[in-house]
Amino acid sequence: MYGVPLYWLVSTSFCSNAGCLPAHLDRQPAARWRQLVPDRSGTTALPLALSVPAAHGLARLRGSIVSINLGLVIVLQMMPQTSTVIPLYQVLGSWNILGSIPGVVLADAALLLPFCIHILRPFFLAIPIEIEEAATVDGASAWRILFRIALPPAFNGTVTAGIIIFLIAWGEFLYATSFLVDPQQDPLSVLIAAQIGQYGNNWPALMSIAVATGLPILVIFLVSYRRLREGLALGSIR
Amino acid sequence: MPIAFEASVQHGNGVWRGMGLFLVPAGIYLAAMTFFPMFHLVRMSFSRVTPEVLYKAWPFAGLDEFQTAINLPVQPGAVEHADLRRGRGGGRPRRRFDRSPDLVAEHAAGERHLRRRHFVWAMPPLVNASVWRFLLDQRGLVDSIPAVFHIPPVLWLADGRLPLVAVALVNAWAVVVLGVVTTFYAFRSFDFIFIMTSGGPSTVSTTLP
Repeated sequence: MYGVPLYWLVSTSFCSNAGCLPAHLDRQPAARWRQLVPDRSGTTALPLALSVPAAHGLARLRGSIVSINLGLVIVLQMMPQTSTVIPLYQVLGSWNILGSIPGVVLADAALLLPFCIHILRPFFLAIPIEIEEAATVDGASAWRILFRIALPPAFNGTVTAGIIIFLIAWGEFLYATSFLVDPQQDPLSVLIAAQIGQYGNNWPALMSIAVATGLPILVIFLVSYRRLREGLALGSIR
Repeated sequence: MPIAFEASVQHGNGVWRGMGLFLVPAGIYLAAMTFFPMFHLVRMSFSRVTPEVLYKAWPFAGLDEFQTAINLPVQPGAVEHADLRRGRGGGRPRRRFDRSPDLVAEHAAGERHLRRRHFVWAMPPLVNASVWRFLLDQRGLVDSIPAVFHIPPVLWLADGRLPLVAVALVNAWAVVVLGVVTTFYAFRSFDFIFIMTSGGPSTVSTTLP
C-alpha cells in the first residue's frame, strides 16, 4: 500500500507521453526550488518566532487567560483553510500585497501559527518550573528567562516544530494558487495541479514535478527522522 | 520576612505577570491575519459582494445570501459527504495505530513500515493525491489487474458514490501515521478532492469546503 504508489510516482516521472525515456525531468522545478526555499523558510520562521514566546507564556501562566487562549488556538486550528481564503484575498488586496510572495508568507504563517503554539507548549511544560523560579529569585526578567533558561532545553522541540511546519508549508496549495497571480511565481504544488486539464492529464510532467516536490521532503525527512519521530512520540501534537 | 527576600518575591510575581506579554506578538498577528479576515467574512455573508465592489462599500443583503446558500442543490449532499469523509478518514484514524505505535516500531519491519507511513504523511497532499488519481483513473494500474482476468473495470473516480469513497480512503491512507497528526491534516484534505475528482463527477464528491 505504501511502496507501490511511491514506485509508480518515481517510475512515471522518467517517462514522456511518447514512451518511457531515462532522465526525463521537467526543468521548471529547479527554478521553483530556488524561489520556494526562501519563501517557505519565511513561512516557517515567522510562526516559529511568534509561537516560542506565546507557547512559553501559555505553559507558565495560570488561570482563565490560559484556558481562553488555548481554546482559541484549538478553534483556529480547526478553521478550514477554505473559509479564510476569500476574506484574506480581500484583506491582502487592500494592503497591496496580493500577488506577492510576502502576502502568501503572511497568510501561511497565520494558518500555521496556532498549530505551532500547540506543538511547542508541551516542550516548555516539560521543563521543571523550579529552574525558572530560581532565575526569578536571582532577578532575571521574563524575556531573559525565556531566552537563557527555557529555550535551550526546549531547543529540540523548537527544531522539531520548525521541521513539521516546513514540511506542511512546502506543499501548501490553496493560498498559493489563490493569492499569486503571476504564473512565474507559482510554487511546485500549483504546477502539479496545472498538469491536470479538462481534456487530459500530462502524467509524466505531473509525476516529474511531484518527484521534484518530494525530493527535498525526502532529504529533510531522512536527516531529521529520529528527531521528528521523537517529537511526535512525545505527544507534542496530540 | 527579610527585605531582600520580600523584594525577590515581588520581582518574581512581576516576572510571571510579565510573561503575559509573551502572548501579545502572536495575539496581534492572529488578530490582523485571522480575526480581522474572519470579521470580514461575517460581514461578507450579510452583504452582496461581487468582484466589482470587492474594494468598495458592500451593499447590505441581510439574510439573502444565506437563503441562496441553503437553496443550492448541492448543499444537502455536501453535508452528507463531509460526514462520510470524517467517518472514513478525515476525523480519526484507525484505533490500533492510535494506541500502539511503539509496538509497531519494536520490530525492524514494523519500524520500516512506520517510517514509510511517516514519509507518506510528510509528502504534500497534492503529490499523494496525484499518485492515487493516476492509479485509480480509468485504465490505471488498479483497473489493469482485473482486466487481465476479463473482469469489468471499476470506475473508482467516475461511478456513483465511489469517487467519494476513493477520496476518503486515500485521505485515510495518508493520515494513518501515529494518530497524532490527524488534527492538522484536516486543513490539507481539500487538496485531495481538488486533485482526485475536483468535486465530480457532477457533485458526487463535493463537500462543504
